Amino acid sequence: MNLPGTATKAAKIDRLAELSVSSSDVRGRSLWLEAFSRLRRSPMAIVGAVIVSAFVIVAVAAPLLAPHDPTAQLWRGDVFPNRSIFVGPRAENPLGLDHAGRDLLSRMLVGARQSLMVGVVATLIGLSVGALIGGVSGAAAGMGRRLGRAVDSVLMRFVDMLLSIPALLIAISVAALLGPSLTTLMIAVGAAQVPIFARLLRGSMLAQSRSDFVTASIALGVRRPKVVVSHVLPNSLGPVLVQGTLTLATAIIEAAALSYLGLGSPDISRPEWGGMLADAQRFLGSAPHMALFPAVAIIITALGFTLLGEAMREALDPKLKK
Amino acid sequence: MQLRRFRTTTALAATAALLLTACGGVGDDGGDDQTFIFGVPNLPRSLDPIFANDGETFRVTRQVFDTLLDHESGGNEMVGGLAETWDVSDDGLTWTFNLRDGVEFHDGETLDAAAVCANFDRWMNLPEPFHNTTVAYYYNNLFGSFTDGESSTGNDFLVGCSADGLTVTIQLKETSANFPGAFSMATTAILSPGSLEQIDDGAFTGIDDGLPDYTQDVTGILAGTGPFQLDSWNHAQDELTLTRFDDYWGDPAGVSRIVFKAYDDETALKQALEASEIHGYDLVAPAHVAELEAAGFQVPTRGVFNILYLAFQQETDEQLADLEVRQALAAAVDRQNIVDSLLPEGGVVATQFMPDTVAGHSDNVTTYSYDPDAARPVLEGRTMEFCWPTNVSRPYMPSPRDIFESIKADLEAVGVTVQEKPMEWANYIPAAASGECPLYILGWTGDFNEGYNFLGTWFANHTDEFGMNRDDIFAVMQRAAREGDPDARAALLAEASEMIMDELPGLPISSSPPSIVFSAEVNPPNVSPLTQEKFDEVSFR
Amino acid sequence: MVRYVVTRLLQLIPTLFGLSVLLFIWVRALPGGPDTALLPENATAADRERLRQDLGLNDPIWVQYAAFLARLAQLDFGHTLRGRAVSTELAERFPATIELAFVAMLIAVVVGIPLGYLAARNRGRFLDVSAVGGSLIGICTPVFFLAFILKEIFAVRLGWLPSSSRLTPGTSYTDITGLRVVDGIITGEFHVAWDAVVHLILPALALASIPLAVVTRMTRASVMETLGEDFVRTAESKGLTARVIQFRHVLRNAMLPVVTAIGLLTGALLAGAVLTESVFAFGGIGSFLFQATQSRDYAAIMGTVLLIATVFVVVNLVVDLLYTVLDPRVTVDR
Repeated sequence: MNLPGTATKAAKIDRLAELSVSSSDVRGRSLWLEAFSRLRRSPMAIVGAVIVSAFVIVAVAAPLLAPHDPTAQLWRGDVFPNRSIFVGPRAENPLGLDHAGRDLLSRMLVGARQSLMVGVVATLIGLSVGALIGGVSGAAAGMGRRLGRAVDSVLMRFVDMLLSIPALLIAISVAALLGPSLTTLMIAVGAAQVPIFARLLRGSMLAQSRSDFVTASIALGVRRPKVVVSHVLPNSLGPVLVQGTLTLATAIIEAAALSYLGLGSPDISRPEWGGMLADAQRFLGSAPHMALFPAVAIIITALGFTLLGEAMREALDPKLKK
Repeated sequence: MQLRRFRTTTALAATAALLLTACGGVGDDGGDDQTFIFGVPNLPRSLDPIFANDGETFRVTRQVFDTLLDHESGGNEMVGGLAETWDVSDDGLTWTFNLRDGVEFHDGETLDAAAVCANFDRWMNLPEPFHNTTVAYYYNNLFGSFTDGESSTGNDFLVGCSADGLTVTIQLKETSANFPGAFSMATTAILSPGSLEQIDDGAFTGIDDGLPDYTQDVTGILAGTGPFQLDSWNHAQDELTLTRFDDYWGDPAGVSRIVFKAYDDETALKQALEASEIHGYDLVAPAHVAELEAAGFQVPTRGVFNILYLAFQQETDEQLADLEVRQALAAAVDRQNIVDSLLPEGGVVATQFMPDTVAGHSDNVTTYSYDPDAARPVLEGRTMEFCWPTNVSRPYMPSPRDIFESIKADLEAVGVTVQEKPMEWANYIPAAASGECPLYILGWTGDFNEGYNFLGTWFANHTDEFGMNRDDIFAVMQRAAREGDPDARAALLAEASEMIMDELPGLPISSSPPSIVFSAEVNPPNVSPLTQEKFDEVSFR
Repeated sequence: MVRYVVTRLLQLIPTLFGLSVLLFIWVRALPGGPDTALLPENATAADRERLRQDLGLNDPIWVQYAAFLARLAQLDFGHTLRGRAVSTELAERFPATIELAFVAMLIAVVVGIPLGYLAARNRGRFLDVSAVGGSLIGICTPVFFLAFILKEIFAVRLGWLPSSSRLTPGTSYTDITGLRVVDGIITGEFHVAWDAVVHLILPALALASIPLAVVTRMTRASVMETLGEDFVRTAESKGLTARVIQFRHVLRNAMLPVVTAIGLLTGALLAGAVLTESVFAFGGIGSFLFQATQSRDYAAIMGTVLLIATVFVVVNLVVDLLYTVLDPRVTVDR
């Protein structure tokens, strides 16, 4: 599948992980300021940030913005799917009606909220579980003893195994296991991100433990756990933030793919863009507006997160500084 | 080939330069070879109908094998098939079939009574792995007789078959509502004696070890008497090809070849049709019918022969044990709206659990009209769980999601809080069957023109699907099941139907004809309410 | 070298073993069962129970797993619910996926590498901006939607290309490798080869969207990085011609991460095939797997996922070996 994050998998992940070292070479806070100032000058970042903030505002304020109840079939009598009679954009309903006579604009607005939620929760799931595995693995490897290496090796073999299953398959399995629902969608998409975050965090922790700063700290007698907590982990944050932003884009697209496969959220009262798009495809011939609006919304939003994520990556990467 | 060639010129210029230079038409078989290509969701599960129970298998095997009795073309009346005439004794136990003369099998053998009895003998002598519904669903349900052992269903209707020239006599142990319908079922098709000799049923060990090769590939073993014979089965292309049988006993088929080609979903079928890659397909989504008609495709309307219902499981949800609640639910659902906006043209609101074309349908059942105002006082403030199947389409229920949404909106309009439980089909049916779902939508398409085939499916005894405990209804149903006389049986079924509609174990929603579509260049067959189209009637214009 | 390859292949065994255990538990835990795929709606509870029993699904899970392993040891993947051997099904369908994925990858590489290279050399100019923008949009478009739109426009509305399948229905052809294009050329049935090519275009384009975007961007980033490396500057200062520098130094070094990405993209392609094959009724293992999941066809799910995982690992092994060819500094003897 598609995912900017998973597509290149390990290579890209490891590359990203290395960035934490380059950041830690410079002293703490000023690095972030520097990255931020670079970010502010990047047109990519600005476009991304504008899209993302517009999306977040819409998502949060959706109930206030929606002109109608998104679940009520208020215009049921106007729509006859079995006779290919649909209602496109009109004064009363700027985006038209869906196949059950509901206001599409209201559904799109509420859908933004669901899509954001799927993205955020899925990312958090992937991040927390992945960080746990990666963190334990990285810390164990950092300890350097035999047991540590063994723990690291077992965990990483497990992660590699998960990486060898395409992300969408993991998501399909989870979705099939839990039955279709919004929660399932979040877990399924999040689960597919676990191996990526795990490898990312481990990679960046290892890269740092080899860095001059850490070697110096340890030489100066700072205790290892303290180094890990006060230095290694915070400095791994950059790559994780980048990956997290990219994952939000991934999550929205992957949610759509799962919905297309019939494993998404069928919850009618809480529409989600991917589900709306997947369901609307069957009406494409006579009601293209039903598919068009969710499709455009998904592409633009995913683009926003991707632009922002990529810009952040570039801002953090000193090699691309020019 | 009648298919439009792909206009590859402009779009492919770039690719063409990369690859081959010469470009003729594609897939050209030349000449006046008339191949009719029909899109299907699945190819047959088995070429030998004894192993099958699904419509897509029977759609194909019906073109190859004939049954003793048949349904009239385009209708649901029982007519002669291989039997020209038939008769039943007064006690309903002795069935006599007078076979057509001069019927030939595809392998050159001639049909006679002995050939028919060879088939009955094969079924009765099937070894143990066949003695259950897992392997031979319909034989066990309709006959269930085995010389060596018992059927898992407990059925045992057959005594035996005797042959005399062209006269077949089938002796039954007891009467059943399944006769004479059973003799028309695709699974009891008559195979050539030569085929039977080559089939080694003893080698079959169970479905865990797979079905025999001859059921999965055209091996030359299987021969029937139908208008088409098996030609080839290309699994990699998902194509099964039949060719015209020139010595067919009826009028020869209008096309020389049929290819059944499988597609993943209905939208893919529609697009393949629009792109002129296939000549027709079945179970068209209602939303696509008007679109296809406008584009010049033919969508003949079938007669109705199915039921869609909303079930009220009385044991799972105590609220539903209250008749007043069930009646209020019946009044709350705007069934006419579902028929008008979601079901194919020709659909009607159902008054009872069988379509009105079936013997046993009663005109005197209690009917329930849409009256949300009457329903609201009873239902307001209640919370109910409602299961519905995702990602599936059934002949009686195209797009369950839309139907569910409509019912849900109706229920919410009278103050019910609906807790929806969407499930995949593979999970849905077991959940509904085990009584996990208080409210759910499901249905049935009849196998043959017999009211018991509908009512008996649900109400012959206590089931977890409905949780209905009405021994008086079950008693009437049991009598109907054993009644050999069609008129007496119809009267019993009508009585049962009236009792059922007073009890209201569920709300019959609709009977609607699944839509079938053909391209403008073919003369379509008579469409059948039982979805048993005879493809030999197809020809090119 | 040989030892390395053998070691890596042997490492595959525990990975697959672990995967099979996980999968087995996973798949059996799916709600519902295969009975809906095998029995009609009106089947009784007893019928369903009997079916589970006949399929051995009522046995304890470790008994089922032992039976699975015993079969696997004889390279028997069991039977699909439809009664055919899973290995036969996979053998028939896998070539379709290979052909599709290969063409998609070909598009990605043939278009993506030059595009990425040109974008890097023209950094900030129109070509670069549109290449980057295009690839971002490619990544952000749901594959199934892209596939669907391509099909609706080019197959249904314009009628230029077929909407589905690998060959025009009813075409007769000679099957040797299962790769229709290759078979058509080997046997001289050029019309079949052409037909297969025509049928490949739309699905391959849809499937290529992600890899193309990734390869373009990887190449661009990698070339940009290499251009700034010391050895390129050294080469320039030594007075080597631009052409030599570009091909011997820049492109070759820039290809390293791209090659890795291609290997890793194989997994993404196989998963993307699930979506693309479904839309185009392409009949490969992608749609086979999806249908198996729908009907709870346990044997089919196990067989397909194990095959995909194996292919993924083997492709990555090949990529690692290719790496040593491209970069003499990397050796495989670790």
